[in-house]
Amino acid sequence: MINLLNRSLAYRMSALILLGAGLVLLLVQGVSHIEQRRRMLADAVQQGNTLAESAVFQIEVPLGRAESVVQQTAVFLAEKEISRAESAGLIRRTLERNPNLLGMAIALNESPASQGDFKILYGWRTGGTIQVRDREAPALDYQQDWFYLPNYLKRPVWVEPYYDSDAKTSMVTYAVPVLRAGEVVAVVTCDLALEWIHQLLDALPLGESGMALLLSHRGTYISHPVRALEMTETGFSLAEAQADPEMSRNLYQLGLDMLSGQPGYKLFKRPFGDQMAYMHYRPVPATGWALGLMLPQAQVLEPLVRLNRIGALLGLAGLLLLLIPALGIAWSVARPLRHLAVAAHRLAAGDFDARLPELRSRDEVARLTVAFDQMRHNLRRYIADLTATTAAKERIAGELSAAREIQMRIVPKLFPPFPHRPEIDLYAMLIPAREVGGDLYDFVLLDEDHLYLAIGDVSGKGVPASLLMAVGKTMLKSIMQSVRAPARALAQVNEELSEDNELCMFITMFCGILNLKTGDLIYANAGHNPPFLTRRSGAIERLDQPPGPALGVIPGASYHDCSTRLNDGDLLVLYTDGITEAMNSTNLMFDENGLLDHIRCEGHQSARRFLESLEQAVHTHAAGAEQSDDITALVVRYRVPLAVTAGSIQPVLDFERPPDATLRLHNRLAEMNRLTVWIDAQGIALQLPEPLLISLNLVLEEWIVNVISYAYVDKSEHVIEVRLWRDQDDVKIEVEDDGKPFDPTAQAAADTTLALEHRQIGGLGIHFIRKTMNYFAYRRDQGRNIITMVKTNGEQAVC
Amino acid sequence: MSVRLSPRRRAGDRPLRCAAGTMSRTLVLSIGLIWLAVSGGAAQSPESVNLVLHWQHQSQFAGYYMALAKGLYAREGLDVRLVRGGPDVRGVELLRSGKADFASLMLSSAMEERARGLPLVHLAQIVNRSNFLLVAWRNPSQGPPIRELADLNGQKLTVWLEDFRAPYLALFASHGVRPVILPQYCTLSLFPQRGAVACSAMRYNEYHVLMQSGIQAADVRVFSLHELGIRMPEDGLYAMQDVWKQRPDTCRKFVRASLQGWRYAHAHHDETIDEVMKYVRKDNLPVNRMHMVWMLREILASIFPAPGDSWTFGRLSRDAYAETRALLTRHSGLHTSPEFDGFVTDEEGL
Repeated sequence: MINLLNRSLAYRMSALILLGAGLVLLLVQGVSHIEQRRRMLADAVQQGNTLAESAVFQIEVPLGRAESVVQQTAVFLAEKEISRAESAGLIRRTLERNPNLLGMAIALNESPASQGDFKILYGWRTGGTIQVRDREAPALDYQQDWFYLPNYLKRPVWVEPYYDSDAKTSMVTYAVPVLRAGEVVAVVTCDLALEWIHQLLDALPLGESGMALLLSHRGTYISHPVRALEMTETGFSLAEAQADPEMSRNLYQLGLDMLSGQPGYKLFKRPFGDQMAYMHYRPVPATGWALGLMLPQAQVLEPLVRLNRIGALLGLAGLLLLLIPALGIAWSVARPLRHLAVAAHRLAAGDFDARLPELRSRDEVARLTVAFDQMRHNLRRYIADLTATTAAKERIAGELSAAREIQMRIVPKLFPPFPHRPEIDLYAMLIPAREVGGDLYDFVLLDEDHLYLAIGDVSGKGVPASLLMAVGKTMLKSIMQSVRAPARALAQVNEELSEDNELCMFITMFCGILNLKTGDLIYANAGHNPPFLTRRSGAIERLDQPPGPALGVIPGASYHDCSTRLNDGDLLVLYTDGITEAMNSTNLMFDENGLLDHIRCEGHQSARRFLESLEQAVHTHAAGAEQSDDITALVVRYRVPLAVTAGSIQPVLDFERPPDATLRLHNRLAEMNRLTVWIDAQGIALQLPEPLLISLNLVLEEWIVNVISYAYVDKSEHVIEVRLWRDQDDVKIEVEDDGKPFDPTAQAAADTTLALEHRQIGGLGIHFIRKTMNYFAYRRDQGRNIITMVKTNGEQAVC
Repeated sequence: MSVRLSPRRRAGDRPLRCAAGTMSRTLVLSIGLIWLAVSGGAAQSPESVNLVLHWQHQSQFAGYYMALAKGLYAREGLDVRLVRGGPDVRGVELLRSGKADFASLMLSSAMEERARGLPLVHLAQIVNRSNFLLVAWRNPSQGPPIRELADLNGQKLTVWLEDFRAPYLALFASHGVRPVILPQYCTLSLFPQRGAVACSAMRYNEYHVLMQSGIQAADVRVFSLHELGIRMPEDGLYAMQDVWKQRPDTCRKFVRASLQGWRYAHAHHDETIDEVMKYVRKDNLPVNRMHMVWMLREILASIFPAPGDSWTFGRLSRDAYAETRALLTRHSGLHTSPEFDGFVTDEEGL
């Protein structure tokens, strides 16, 4: 149901209309109910009082008649003493004239003053006749209330009613004292049966569950619909029997109210069933009794309940009828809205031509439709605009992307850049802040021994910066090719850039030339961050000789060359401020210290590993903050070339174990055949690849022929020992002879540019060995020459 | 007034105590009928005996009803008939004539009868605490409000006659109060009609009847005779000396079973009330159940000692006897009184 109400405006409107109508109906019903109830209860009270009044009147009439009869007799007796016979006659005549009297007595007082010839005479009706007799036990009779009370009270008394089991009826006695000179000389009584009171009360129109009670002045029930309670229970004993103390108290109080001698009514809770009921009570003044008429509230209000039921049914029917027009109105309102909803759905799906509901009125729905239509038009226009803008943006983005590609292509980014030069371990990175950046780096081997390095930062970012960067980089590189002096090259570039520099853009630049043979670095700085040089020992130097101005700022500015020497394993770190000024979200910079820390921790790594971890460190520091500047760095680790340092560095392979094969040769050229056979045999035994075998053969032949030919000054026989180790693809060979000392690695490299005839003998052999083997070392040990050669992994040999 | 010429019993009468000593001579016929009823159907065994009650059936005699209903008498080999009392029945007379074996009597009545020469013996003391009250209007229609006993000086009040009168006379004499005493018969009518400022009442009976007629405790000032020093034990079981001498075992058995009956009633209130109401209904008495409930509670409280009470259940102490005799001698014209020994058997409380 709730679901239905949530889903449909029509249902919700109908429900609201019904709810409103229902509430109004309920209000009307409620007010009418309260008013009618009030009036009905007031009527019932009025009616109850009237009934009680009339009932009391009907009870009092016969009692009053009996009172007057007895009082007349008493008056008569007060005047004169009468004999037994006269008394009997008087009783008989009185009973004959007053058929409502059941019996009558004249009792003379026992006191000595009384001179009568009888004590107590009693006449009563029996079987249609009247009998008058002397009482048999007057002494007991004198103790009875009918004599005792008037005798002492000296006034007429209605004695407490009682049930006479002989007469089989409830009876009440009226007793009047006969006073003579203030003394009670006799008492006259009459008896009344009370059956007529039952009949009278039973006939009262009290409805189905109403009832009438008659209480004696002591609260005893004289008449009660439950006859068993009569003469036994009192209003108070029934109250006492209640288990609920409050109910008991209330009933007790009700009894007191009823016997208070005042008429009234009271709403009370009935025992047994807890119904509320009205008790209308009224005293019977002559006797001191109290009449009570009990009318249950439910009975009084029964017509109201019926009325309410009819009202509720009519209301319900009315609401159901109201439902039909309510639904009609709700549907008519909701229909165009539903159409609009459908159109909106189609619009959302991209259909701008969905039909809108027709305008039939100028109400809110119509205004909504117009607004919807307007929105559709605007949307259509907006989408067209958006399409155009997007196309333009895409084009620009494409161009930017191309620019970035070009920029990235300008800087060399093939690593390792010089795979055949193990002394150069170089790596560089450029991470632009925007699509294209203004940073640059560059390096190139100017010749075999000279490595050109540069790093720079163009003022500004984006396309203009990158253009200037391309110009600056290209210019510097081309000038450096010919000038080979950093300061002069920078000065020339500055001249070029300073001209017509209307945009006032500039480049900071550091550049240098590293002599690979000697490790000498000549450099100049144009306003760039001084690079760091990390010595193998761990010491860090800052190349911070005073820099010149940035390029493009001051025409005619001069720059100075500085120099330093790189030793084996030293690491040169060039960087831009994109690294040191990288900020995190709290604007804390990575700083030079961050860089120095990183150099200390990671400086022993290869160039590539070093930069990769540096990039990671900068990213970690930024912690998600947007990159504000290009991040650019170039590092190079210098290694002294092998030819220069033979013996000073550890062989790549260090076999501690005995050789896998050993060959001893004599210093005769004829032994060379044995060498060839031995190598072939080892090739098979050690499963050496064919090209390696050929290389080994050539190298050993070259060297051993050399030893046999030139090592010995005497003609005696000498032994040359060849040892061979093999580990996977790597092969190490040692050749030991006891000839004159000769360090082949100390020989200058062969000048291959000379014509063959001018070349130094032996020089080419050594050159060949160097070319072929990865490692070539010499040592003199206990008067013997030991040559160590290593061929690794079948790679291209050094040099 | 009853259409019956002699008012033997009237349903309209309240079951009030009534001294009816003057009517014994007029009741020969009635007594004869009772005698037939009592002795006519008696079987040889078990031994038939009868007990005359003080008054019409009510909770005052609950112990005997329960002894009968629960077979306690039968267990002792006794076939007991309970004879109702009333204004027309006098237990002392039935004992004297030998038509009753046992009777329930007031201690003061029994002592007076014994003093007059009737050879009664006391078998058991049932009610040890006095239930006598004097109930006075706090604010009478005439005269000053009643707050203390002395306020009754010169005021009209009603007091029972004969053997129920002695405690009140003792009360007035001992407290030096001189009211105008009017007779009080079976019904308590003059006081509610405000024809007297006070009336005599039993705590277990008349006092509650007044409550049930709409008089509230706040309306009246209640003087307890017991609390004012008039401590007279009340209901006891009596027999003629001959019976006691000739059939002591029977007497002992009867007393034993009767006391057991009281103990049973003490332990089973609801069941006892049901039994009482059977007797009430059988005699068509105008008595309601709540009144019997009240009466049972109060009578039991005066039979079974509460902690702090000085008496023993079923027993008459020499002290209580002496106190009663002193009160009677001083205030009720009892000149010769029986000695404790000989009057009170030492077999009680069995």
